[in-house]
Amino acid sequence: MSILSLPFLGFLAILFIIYYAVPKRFQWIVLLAGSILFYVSCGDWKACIFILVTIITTFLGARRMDQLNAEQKQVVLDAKNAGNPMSREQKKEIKAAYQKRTKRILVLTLLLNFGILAVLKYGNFVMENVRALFPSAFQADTGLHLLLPLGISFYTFQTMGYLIDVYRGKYQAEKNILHFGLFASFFPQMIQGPIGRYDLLADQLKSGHSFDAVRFRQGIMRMLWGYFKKMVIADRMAIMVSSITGGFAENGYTGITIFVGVLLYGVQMYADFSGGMDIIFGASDLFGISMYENFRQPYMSRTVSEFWQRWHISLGHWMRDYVFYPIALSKSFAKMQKNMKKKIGNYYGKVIPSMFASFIVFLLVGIWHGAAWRYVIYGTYHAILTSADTFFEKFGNDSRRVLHIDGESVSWKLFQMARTLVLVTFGRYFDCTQAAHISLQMLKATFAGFNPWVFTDGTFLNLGLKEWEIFFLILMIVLLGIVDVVNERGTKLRMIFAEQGIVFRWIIYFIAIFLIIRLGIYGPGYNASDFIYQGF
Amino acid sequence: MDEIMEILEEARPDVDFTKETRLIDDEILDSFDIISIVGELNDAFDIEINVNDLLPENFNSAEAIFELVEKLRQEA
Repeated sequence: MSILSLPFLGFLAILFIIYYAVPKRFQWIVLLAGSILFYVSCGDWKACIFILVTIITTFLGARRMDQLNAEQKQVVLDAKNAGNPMSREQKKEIKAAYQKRTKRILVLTLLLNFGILAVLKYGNFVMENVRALFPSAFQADTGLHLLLPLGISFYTFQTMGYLIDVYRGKYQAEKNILHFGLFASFFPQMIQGPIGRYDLLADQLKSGHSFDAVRFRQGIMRMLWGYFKKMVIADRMAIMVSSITGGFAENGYTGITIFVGVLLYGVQMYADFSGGMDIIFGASDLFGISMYENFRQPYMSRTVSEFWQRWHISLGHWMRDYVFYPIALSKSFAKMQKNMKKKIGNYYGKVIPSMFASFIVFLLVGIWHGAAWRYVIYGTYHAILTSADTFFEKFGNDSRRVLHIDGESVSWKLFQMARTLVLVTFGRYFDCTQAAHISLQMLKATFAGFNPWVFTDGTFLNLGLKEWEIFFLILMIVLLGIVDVVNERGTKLRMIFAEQGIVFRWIIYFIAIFLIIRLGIYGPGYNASDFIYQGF
Repeated sequence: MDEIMEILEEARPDVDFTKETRLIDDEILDSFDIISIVGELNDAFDIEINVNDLLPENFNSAEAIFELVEKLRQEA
């Protein structure tokens, strides 16, 4: 069941009615039943075994860690009650002994779950590469042909984040496995995230909600905006983009044509991914549940580092909290920082080790997107850019001062945004093709010729879209830009619309529904195309 | 407290640490700032702030950082 299909809307409507019809204390059961139904109907039911393994092992692992922590406290308390209080050293010893045991549970559960993810997601990739290295040792087809359970990257990261938080003592483990199952499998986040946090999401899922008319309207409006972005903008843009990126070699596209194609791929990605998020967030709003925001006007970023703080935020925060901080705060790291400070001065000694940790993060972000060399290059490219942001920050500030450039002037900000857009677009060359060598060919073709006349000679009219559609898309890009500027200033349009009178609201609903039905792109059998991030 | 203020101001001279109470929640400090501040605090006070201590409530204000440092010094 695709979230772009009529059955999904029917499913949502029925679930919504039951949710508010049952007593509040049973609402979470409705969500759990809905999530199971959704998951089973979305793919191969056999894949459910993997999410079940994750739910059970993580739940038990976290519970056991909690028990050990409680036991440790009890041992100290018992000694005190027996009139034989422990010394500070004894307490430390006891703590270390218990920590060793909780760590063992943590590591085993992490290994098992990331192991499943690695085998299912990267098994084929590893086999292909091993086969390429030793062709004689394998028969022609020894691929593993593994099935990839829906949402595995998202729910694995979400549950492992929970496990690490319990290990760190951020909160106590969930005591009810069904509550935990709902947290891990809440249906809106199964398609393409966001990667939720237990402390922000679980209580909302467990507690009862009264129907809130304004929030309901906001949810519907957000869903409509999401469908519009996905089906009217992204899927239409995709036609043009795939003509360029898929056919550049045979059609002889070079220079600006290709660059514009990849630039538009970025817009397509944004409309596709953030549109999907809007549908998911809107659907959750119907049940009174808020999720972790995943976008904050990414194309208004002034640096590539900032772009990653605004694009796919839940993944970025996950990487920061569970990869970057543990590396950057490790003992060996602190030692490296100290040594470097002595050798190359305070500033660079401070930033270089952090850059190193961030490099690892971006490599992982690249590989997270998929098992392919192009994603390794994609991750490395962004790792280099974000490191360069940090490395040259001081140099940049000093140079600006010498050249008397006002860092806060509008023109400088626009220049920075344009520069970030160009840099991010070059990264997308490795994201929009099927293989790294095609990306490299495309990059080469981009620099093979300078052809500004493509804007006037009708090149863009032969890319599968009619003239009006191209003008329409230009208008839509402007619209996306305006909405982003309004959002950046802290105004949420749907909140304003949701509080208007009934006539105004229904005009908005009708216009949106009409535009989605009339202008949406539908594939064979009226199924809209899948979300790009669904594949991750 | 003065020493902490010195460390904070050195890391981010553009921030008024006497007033800000949402340093993490409002993303005033980024992860690189945090790492450098933690490194300096560890050195200056001979403590070990580890990843478990990196909670927003421990870093949202200079006051909160002071309390965290005090707590870790007592434990050390």
